[in-house]
Amino acid sequence: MFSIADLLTVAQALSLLTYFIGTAIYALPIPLHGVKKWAPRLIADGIYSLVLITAYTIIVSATVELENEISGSWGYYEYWLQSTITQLSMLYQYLSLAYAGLTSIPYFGKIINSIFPTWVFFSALSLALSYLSFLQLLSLFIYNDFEVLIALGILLIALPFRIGRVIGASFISSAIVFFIGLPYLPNFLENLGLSTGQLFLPVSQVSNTTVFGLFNYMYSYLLPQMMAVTIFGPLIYLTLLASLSIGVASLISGMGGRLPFPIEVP
Amino acid sequence: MSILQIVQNLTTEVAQIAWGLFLLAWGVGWALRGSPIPIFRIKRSGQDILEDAILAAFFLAIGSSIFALIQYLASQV
Repeated sequence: MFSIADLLTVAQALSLLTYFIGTAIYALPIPLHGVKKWAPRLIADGIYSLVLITAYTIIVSATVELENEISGSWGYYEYWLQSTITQLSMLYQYLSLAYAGLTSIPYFGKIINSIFPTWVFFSALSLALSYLSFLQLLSLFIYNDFEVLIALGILLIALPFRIGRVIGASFISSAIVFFIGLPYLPNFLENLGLSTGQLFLPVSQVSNTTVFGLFNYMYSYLLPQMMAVTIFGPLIYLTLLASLSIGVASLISGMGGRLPFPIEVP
Repeated sequence: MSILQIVQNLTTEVAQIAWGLFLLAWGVGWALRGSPIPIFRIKRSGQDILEDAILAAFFLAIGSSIFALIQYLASQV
């Protein structure tokens, strides 16, 4: 694994190489416009990537500064994610225990299954858990490696002939945008009226009703609310961040951008 | 040999090739421009080659200076 300093040194060497390839193409005694048009491009690319390399520390410190100013803290965000995952997995355990208990009563399980498709609830719950785990993985990746991502993006941009320009710019922009934006996710969900605390509040109100009341509550309230809090809300926010990231990438590359990782539910 | 060395060696080679190409383009350009052929397009392409060769020599000569300047400016920020 390369260190950041190594990546930037290689990037610097590559930007010099790009520059000199540009001058070599300029010097080619071939009056072909298609070949010659690469010369000023490569020279400008070499200088541009060198500017990016020297601006690396500024980019990183500005990102951290902006994150402190705009978003919440990463500590709280990770705590929020972990506690939501814990709550959901506890819910899963309780419900599977309750389901096992109920279906052990003769004929009752069949009645329950014919009225309420329990597998829908369990698969939705595990989908929500998977999406949150994916979000946790993505956050960990961004939080730990955003400096490496930026350095790697600069290295890709420094490659000759604009081979890695779009993906390099996408690395840089997604690292910046997601590092600043991700910790704001809990606040965003709360502003939408979706907080994880709401999920389990009304349980006490329905606990003394009938089994059918409980199932009604599960399907008409808990399931939609859970999907909204754990999948649709974060997905809206991640799509916003992704659009911003693509915008920043096209600013950096001048050739458009894309997202270097998936954010949708597969 | 590390990647850095490979890239640096390649850069040195490319710079040498670029100087060689400049000399070649200088010769070819003047030869075409001064050729006793009454075809204007050929003379014009010789002129283009010369102009590009001069630009190439200029950028080759100031290449390392530009890079040093940018690094100096960045260290001042």
